[in-house]
Amino acid sequence: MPSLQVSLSKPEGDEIEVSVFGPGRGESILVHIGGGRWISIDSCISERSDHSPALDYLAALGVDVGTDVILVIASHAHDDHTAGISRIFAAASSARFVTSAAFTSPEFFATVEADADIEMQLNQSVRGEFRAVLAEVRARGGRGRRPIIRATEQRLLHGPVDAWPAGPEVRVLSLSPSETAIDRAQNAVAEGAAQVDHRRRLAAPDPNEYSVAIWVQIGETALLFGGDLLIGPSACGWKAVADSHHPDVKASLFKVPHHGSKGAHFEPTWADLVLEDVVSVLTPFRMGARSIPRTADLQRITERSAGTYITAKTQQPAPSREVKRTRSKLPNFAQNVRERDAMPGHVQARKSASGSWSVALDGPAYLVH
Amino acid sequence: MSAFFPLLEMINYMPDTLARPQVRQTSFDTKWERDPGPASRPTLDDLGGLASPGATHDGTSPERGSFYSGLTSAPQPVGPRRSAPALYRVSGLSTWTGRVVDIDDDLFTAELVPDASTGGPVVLADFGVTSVGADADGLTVGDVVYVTSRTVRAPHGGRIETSSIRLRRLGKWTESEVADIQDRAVQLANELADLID
Repeated sequence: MPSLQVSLSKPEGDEIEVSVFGPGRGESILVHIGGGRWISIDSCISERSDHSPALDYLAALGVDVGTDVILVIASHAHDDHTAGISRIFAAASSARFVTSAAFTSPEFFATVEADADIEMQLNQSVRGEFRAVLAEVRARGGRGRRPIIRATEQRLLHGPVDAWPAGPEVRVLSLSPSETAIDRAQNAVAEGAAQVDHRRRLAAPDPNEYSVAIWVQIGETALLFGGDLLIGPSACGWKAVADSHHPDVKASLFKVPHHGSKGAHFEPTWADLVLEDVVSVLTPFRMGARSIPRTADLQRITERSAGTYITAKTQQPAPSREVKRTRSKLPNFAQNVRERDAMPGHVQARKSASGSWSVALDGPAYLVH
Repeated sequence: MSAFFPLLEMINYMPDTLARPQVRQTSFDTKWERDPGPASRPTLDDLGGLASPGATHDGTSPERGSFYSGLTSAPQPVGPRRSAPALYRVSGLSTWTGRVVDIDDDLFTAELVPDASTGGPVVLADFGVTSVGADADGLTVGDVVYVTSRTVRAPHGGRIETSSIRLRRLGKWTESEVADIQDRAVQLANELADLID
């Protein structure tokens, strides 16, 4: 499958597009579901420019974000997937905000409030984006439909409506979290909440089982966006999705979950939900001491896909002069000093309703196989 | 040797005439350069007092809920002692606040944000879990660490570089704070009740 140069003209009304940006800080996905309507899933920021690549791209296309973006989805609350999401939501003034049902409970709000207190001491935050989104929601008030949608398994987020005039139906569905996962989430969040005589700390990342996986179906074309959803545990994750989701078509494009890690690879997902000649797209995770996807992960994914695209290399880029200068100031026992973020790559995939995917690349994005 | 530094301690110095002993390695480094000689060499106690302004005698800092380990428990270098020369200047101080973003076996990764005077980009760096000493057992993602690198100039031209990493202790939640957080959370939930579908 040849790689082309990214197009900066709007997709046609009857053309479907998926654009994936990453890593920057996080990953960001835009989906044109037809008729000039877009949905946004997660968010990242380019460290170099401090811009949202998703917003920059939509501006370059001439898309009116205020009217044309109809859903802003936060697949989970990890800050590597929500950096800048409040900017997207603020710009998308007509959009509804979709978040895991696990993040709409008083227990979760308590972590948001506790984080605000610690931020004053530390000048660091992990719930800052959520606080900004909630402030925007309150400012908008209840004009018309409620601005926040709690995503649960098999929840219809949009549709069914015609994707374009006289076109096929489009529906957007959340596949997770399951009820069991929501219960587990509320217990875990409560356990990690501020408690008397417990040490103050920033909220630890929420388990990936609360993550929202998204299914978009436009006529006979289906798209699966895996977020960071992992396999289990029992009655959670992809195991629960396998039990509850039985579509009549399989996905021809798959945003591989959790950066291609083995812990998110569930055979029934590949067997039952995606086509054998699926186009797979993923972003790397480089925040930890060991980056993902690993070579074995990429091999496993490419064996199951007609084409596999990744938005940037898994390996750290060569350090910039500023990073080298910082490295020289840091103690010797600080190892592997590297930039937190880099320039996000862009994978742009487009197809007509009956055609096949045409994929274009920009920046460090590349075709794996 | 202090219980707060269970690791090895390394003091490198490069005197003109003396052989270079290697002692041990720890969560902080102290480097001496252009050593003027043992007679005028300051002790680490001297450095601890000078390099941690504001530190109290027992090593605690005025900052609420935080403990500054300092250098006061380091062993003394070999050689005759004299009173510390009068003027040592901290000529360079770089500090980062780090958030632990990942823990993998014996390593943790911290996202390091420089303070305003340090400058530079936000970086990621890996550290051995044991580098935070006694706090290693309770280390979790979300914890905050404080990393400093300090240069002290001796009056005769020597330069000592000292670095440290410590877990930033923010104190503990009090009853009134927890109650306030819960009240605000309930208020937020009530405000949003009609806005969530």
